[in-house]
Amino acid sequence: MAATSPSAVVVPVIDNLDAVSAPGLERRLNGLVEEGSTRLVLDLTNLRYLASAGLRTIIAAHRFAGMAGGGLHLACLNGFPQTVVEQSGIAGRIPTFATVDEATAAF
Amino acid sequence: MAMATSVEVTVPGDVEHLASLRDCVETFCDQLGQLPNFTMAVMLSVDEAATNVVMHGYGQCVGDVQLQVSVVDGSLVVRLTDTAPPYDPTQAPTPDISAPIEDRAIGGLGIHLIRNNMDVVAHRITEAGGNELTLTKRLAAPQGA
Repeated sequence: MAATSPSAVVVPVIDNLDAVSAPGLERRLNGLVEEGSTRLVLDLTNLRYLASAGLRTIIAAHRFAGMAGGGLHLACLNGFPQTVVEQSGIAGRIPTFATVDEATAAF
Repeated sequence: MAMATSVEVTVPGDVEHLASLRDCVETFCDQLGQLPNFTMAVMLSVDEAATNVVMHGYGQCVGDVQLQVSVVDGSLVVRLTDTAPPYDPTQAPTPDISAPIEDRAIGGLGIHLIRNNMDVVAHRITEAGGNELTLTKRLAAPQGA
C-alpha cells in the first residue's frame, strides 16, 4: 500500500524487517524504481525489529534509487531499529527525517 | 512459578524458523527481568548468527540449529550449535562502517552487530564437525534488588 505524493512514494514497513521479510521489500522497492518511482520514503513508524538483512535492503535500495536519479529517505525511525541503524554506521548517510511529510518534502 | 535457569530449542535450519529462536530469547530474557534494550540486543545477535548459519552454512546441505540460553555467573550465555561445514564468524573481517555508503560492500554487517551487542563471541568446532558459537552478555542487576 504505497501512497503516492507528487514527489515521492511512501512505503510503510511494519513489524519485522529480517531475513524473512527483507527479500520481499527489496523486490517491491526495486519494482518501484524500475517503474520510474525513484524517490522513495520508508515510513518506519511501526517497525519494531530490524536485522542486518533489512539494513542491506535499505542500503541497496538507497543505492539503486540514487543511480536512477532519485533517492531513499527514512521517516519516523524509532526504538530498537534506530539503535541498529546507529550501530551499523549508516545513520546520517541515508537521509532520515522525523516525519513522513518532512521526508517527502526533502526531495 | 520457578524460573527456568536455562532453555533449549532445536529448529530446522531455514529462515522461516529464525523468528522462533528470537521468541525463545525474548521469553527467557523477559523472565529474567531484563530491560527491552538488553533483550533486543541478544535477540538481534542470535538472529544474525543463526541467519548466517541458515543462509551460508546450510547453503549446500540441510540441518538443524540448536539454541541453548542459560545464566552462568551473572552473564547470559547463548550457545548456537549446527552441523554445517566449519566456519568461524569471529575471524570475519570487520566491515569498514566509516566508508561512504555508496562505496561500501553490501553485507558483513551481521558479525559487526553481534560484536557490538555481546560482550564475548567465541567459536569452536564441535565433535560432530559442526559449529558452536557462544555469545555472552553480562546481565544487568535485577530490578528491585
